[in-house]
Amino acid sequence: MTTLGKNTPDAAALTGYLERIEKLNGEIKDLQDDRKVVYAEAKAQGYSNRQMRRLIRVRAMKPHDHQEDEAEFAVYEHAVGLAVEPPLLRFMAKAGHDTAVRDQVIEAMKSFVPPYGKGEITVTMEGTPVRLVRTKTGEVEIKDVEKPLPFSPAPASKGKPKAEVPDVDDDGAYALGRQYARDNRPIIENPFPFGDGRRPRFDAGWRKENGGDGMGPSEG
Amino acid sequence: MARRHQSSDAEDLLDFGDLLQPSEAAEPILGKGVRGALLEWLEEIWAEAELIAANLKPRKRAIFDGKPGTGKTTLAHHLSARLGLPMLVVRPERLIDSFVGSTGRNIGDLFDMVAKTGPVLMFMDEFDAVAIKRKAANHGAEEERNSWVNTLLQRIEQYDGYLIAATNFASHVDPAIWRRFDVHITLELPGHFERERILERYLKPWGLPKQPLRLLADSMETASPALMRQFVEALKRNLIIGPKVGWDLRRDQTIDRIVAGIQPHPEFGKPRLWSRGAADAAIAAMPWPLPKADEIDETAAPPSAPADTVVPFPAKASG
Repeated sequence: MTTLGKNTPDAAALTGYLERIEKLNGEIKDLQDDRKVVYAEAKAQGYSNRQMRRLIRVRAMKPHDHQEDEAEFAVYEHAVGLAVEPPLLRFMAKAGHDTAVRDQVIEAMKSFVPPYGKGEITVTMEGTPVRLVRTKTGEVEIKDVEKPLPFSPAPASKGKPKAEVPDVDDDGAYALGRQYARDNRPIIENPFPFGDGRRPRFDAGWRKENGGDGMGPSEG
Repeated sequence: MARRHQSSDAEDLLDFGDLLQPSEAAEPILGKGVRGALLEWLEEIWAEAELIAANLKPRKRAIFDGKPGTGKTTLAHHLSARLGLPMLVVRPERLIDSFVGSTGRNIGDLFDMVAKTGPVLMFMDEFDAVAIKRKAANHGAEEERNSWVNTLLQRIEQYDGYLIAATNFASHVDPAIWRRFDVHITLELPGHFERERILERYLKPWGLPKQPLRLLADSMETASPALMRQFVEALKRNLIIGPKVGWDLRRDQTIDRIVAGIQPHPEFGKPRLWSRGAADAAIAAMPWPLPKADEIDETAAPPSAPADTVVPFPAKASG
C-alpha cells in the first residue's frame, strides 16, 4: 500500500491481478478455439456435434441423476401426448416381439410375486397371459390363465329358466300384478321380460291394487 | 392404459363399468313431483307402439341432476328394474384416457358394444366428467376434450337405447349434450315425509314409534339420504357389535360417538342433530334400547329419558 492517503489503492498490485486474469482469459480463448477444432474434426468425420454435446452433458451427470431425468422426461412427454405409450408399455411391447426379452420380463417379475396365498401376478405379452404364483415352498410357478366365463347381459338366460314367465294374457298379467301387491311383493319382481306387452299390464295392476306408484310410500 | 380394440366379446362391456340386474334394485324414496314425472316417462316408454303409429317416439334419454347422495343411482336402477332391463353403470375413468384420441375411441367402443350386446339401460354417472363444456382450445388437451365431447354428442344422438346420465354439476355439462336429453329431473334433498320413510327403511329390523321418528326426521333436516343411511347403519352396527366388544352402549354416548364419526359435507349445511348431538330433543325422545319394528306399541307413553342428559330443545310443531 502507498502512503499517499488512506483510500488510495496500490496501483502496482492491482495491475498485477488484472494482468493475471487477462492472461487466463487469453488461455481460455485458446482452449475454446482448440475445442472448436476438435468438434470440427469430428464433424468432418460425420459425427453430429449436437448429439456429441448432449453425450458430454450426460457423461458429466451422476448416473442416478441421469436416470431420474430420463424417467421424468418420459412421463412429461407422455402426459402432453408426445409419446404414444407410457415407458413401461414401450418396454413390454418390445418384449412382445422378442421371446428372450419376454422370458427376461417374466424372470424379473418373479421377484415381485407375493408370498404363498397372498396373491399373484399376471403378465400379458403377445396376447397370452401367464400367472405367476408362489407355491408353499416359496418357488414361483408359471401357470396359464383360465378364460373368464362368457358374459351374458340377459338375466333370464342365466340359471333362471324361461318357464318362469307365467302363461297368461294381458288381463291375467294385470290380475297377477294385483296379486303381487296384495302379497306385499315388490313391483320389480315383475315376471314378464323387457319388451313383453304384459310387463306394463302387470305394473299397472300392481299400482292399482297398491294405490301407489311403486316408488315407495307416498305422502297423503 | 390402451384399450384392447381387437376384442369384440360381449364380456368387454364389463370393461366400461358394472352391470346391475333388475332384481338388485331398491325402492327409491322420492318427493311427489319427481315421481309423477318418472311414472309419466315409464308409461310413455310402454306406449311405444302407439306413439310410433302416431309418428312419435318415446323419450329415451334422461339426465338426473342433484347433490351427492340424493339417490340418482338408486332411482336409475329402479327405473331399469321397472323396465326389466339390466343397467350398465358406466365409469367415467374407464372412458377417459390420457392418450390423444383414446377417449373418443373408448366412447365409440362403449356405444358399439352396447348396441351389440342387446338391450341394457346405460347409466353414465358423474356425467360432467365426460360431457364437459366445450371451449375454444388453447392447447392440445383442450382440443382433445372438445373432440371427445363431439364424439359423445354424435353417439348419444345415434343411440337408440335407454340412457340416463347423472351429475352433481349440471352447469358443467355441455349445453348441446344437455339438449340431447329429453327428460331432465332435479333430485332435491328429501322432505320431512321422505326422511321418515328413509329412516324407517334403513332402521329395519329395528324401528321407532311415530313421535320419536317424527322428531328424529325433524332433527335431520337438510340431510341427504346417503347421510341418513350412514347414521342409521352406524347405529345398527353399534347395537350388533357393541355388546360383543364392550362398547359404552348408553344412548347418549352411542349417538355422540356416531355423530362424531359421520359428518355431512360442509357445503350442504349441518342438520340440527349434528350440531347438538345427543343433546337434541330427538335423541331425548328416542326409546332405548331401540325397539324392534314389530314390537312397537304406539299406545304406550313415550319413555322419559334421564333428566341429567337432556337439554330441552323446542321440538317443531307436528306437520
